Amino acid sequence: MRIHRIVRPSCAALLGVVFGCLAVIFFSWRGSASRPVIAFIPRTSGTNLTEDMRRGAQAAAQSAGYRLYWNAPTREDDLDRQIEIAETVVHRGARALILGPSNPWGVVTMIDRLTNRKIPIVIVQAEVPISAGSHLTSVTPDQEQFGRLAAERIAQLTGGKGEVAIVGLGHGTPESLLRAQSFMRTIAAYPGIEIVAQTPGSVQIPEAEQSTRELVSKFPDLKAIFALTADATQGAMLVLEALNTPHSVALVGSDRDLFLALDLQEGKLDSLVAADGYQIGYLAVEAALDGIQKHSLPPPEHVGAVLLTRGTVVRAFSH
Amino acid sequence: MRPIIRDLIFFLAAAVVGSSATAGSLYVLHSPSRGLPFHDNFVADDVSQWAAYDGNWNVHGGVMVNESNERGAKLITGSPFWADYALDADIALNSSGDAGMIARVSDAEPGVDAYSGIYGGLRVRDKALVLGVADHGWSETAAKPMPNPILPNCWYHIRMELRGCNIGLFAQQQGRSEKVSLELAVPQCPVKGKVGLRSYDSGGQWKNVRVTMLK
Repeated sequence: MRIHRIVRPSCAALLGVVFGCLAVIFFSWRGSASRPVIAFIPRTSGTNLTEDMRRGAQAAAQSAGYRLYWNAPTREDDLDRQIEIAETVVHRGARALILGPSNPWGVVTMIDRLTNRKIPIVIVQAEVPISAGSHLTSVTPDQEQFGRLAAERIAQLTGGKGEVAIVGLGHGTPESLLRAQSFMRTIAAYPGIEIVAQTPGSVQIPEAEQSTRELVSKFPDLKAIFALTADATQGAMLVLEALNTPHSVALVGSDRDLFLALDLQEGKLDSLVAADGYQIGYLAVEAALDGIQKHSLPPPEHVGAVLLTRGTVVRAFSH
Repeated sequence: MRPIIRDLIFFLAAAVVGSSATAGSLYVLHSPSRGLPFHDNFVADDVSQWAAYDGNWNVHGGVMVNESNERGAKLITGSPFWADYALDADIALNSSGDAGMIARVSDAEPGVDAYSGIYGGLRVRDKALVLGVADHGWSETAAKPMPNPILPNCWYHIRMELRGCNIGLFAQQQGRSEKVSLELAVPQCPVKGKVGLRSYDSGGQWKNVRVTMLK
């Protein structure tokens, strides 16, 4: 009886202390209800193209009541990190994945694994060597159009004759190969134009710069350069700027990186071929939502490219 | 008194004591002044209080160096509850990208803009002092040209002052008198978080990192 008189109040007090502590911890830690997530993992981010894609994707996700998870590797050729980011976010419960593959062949196993789990995947930036299906589709720029527009511009600038070069070819970036092939097909209609060099690309701008420097010194009569990627364009632009004869070699670049639009306005390059990143991001999220809600993705879609010149760059893609 | 009533009174009294003690402890732990002022002049090799997200970070003679020029490497320290403070550091860039400081950082993870917070720093390409907000994506708020080109391996003193959503960012090249400043209200800004060092497309060097509370 005496023990009861001590033990019961002690237990009650102990329970009271624990209850009080847990109540405070519960109220201070409880989070707000979270919205379902669509993950968007481009090759890298912080460029104009990727920021446009993010804004488009964000707008589409928000209007559907979804949260957009956006992250990218710090190097655009860092395939391992991209796979790690993508798998982590899917493991955390992302309902769909939008992926700009760092290396289209390198992500095939991961895509197979995720589509087997019925996770909708939308590919952007470059296509992957797997057929689209009910859990896999793509929204990519029309790479053929990139090459065609660049070739027509260079033919116009050179008057249809002279030496031209292609810079930025990369086996890890198949879109650069598609752009180059389309460029060569179109330029074949101008027999006076000779493609004297096709140089490999790099995601490191100093390497791209060095490659173009060697090219320019090897071919002093070069009339124009078609740069296949944003990094190749920046590298080539730095070399041509340093030549002190800025208009002797015309540069037609690709994609809108952070400063390329500004450089174009300042006349540091002749023109840029670019796709509308906002539209790509918006359409990719819409496709992902179809996959989530209807359990079947729409067929692959191409977004057209446009040639931006000094006069048109300000008006382009103003969303 | 009936035993059940007595036990209930004990329970309620103990619950009040327990919740008060816990709330008091949380208040101290979550205090925005806890750990301030903070100063790291990197004299010791022990950098265990810093967490690296990408990059190749090393201490060399009082200077924290990131030798990698990948996009968006960051090194983070401090309390997630720091709110209104001034962040000072001397910064030098290694190449042609950006380098600076991040404040009110939360949700950090590896990746380019993979954090929520405010970035202030120097950008070589347009020779500008840059201020912006990251929320797993980048929104540039303002950029102001520096009076002279931003030189690699040249030291700049950067100060970021955060009072609510009023942000001040100041930069001065060592040995020069001109000071560039950006002072503006940033809508929907992050309100509390850690501090960090960040570079984008450039390696960088940082020394004399200091965080002081603003009244």
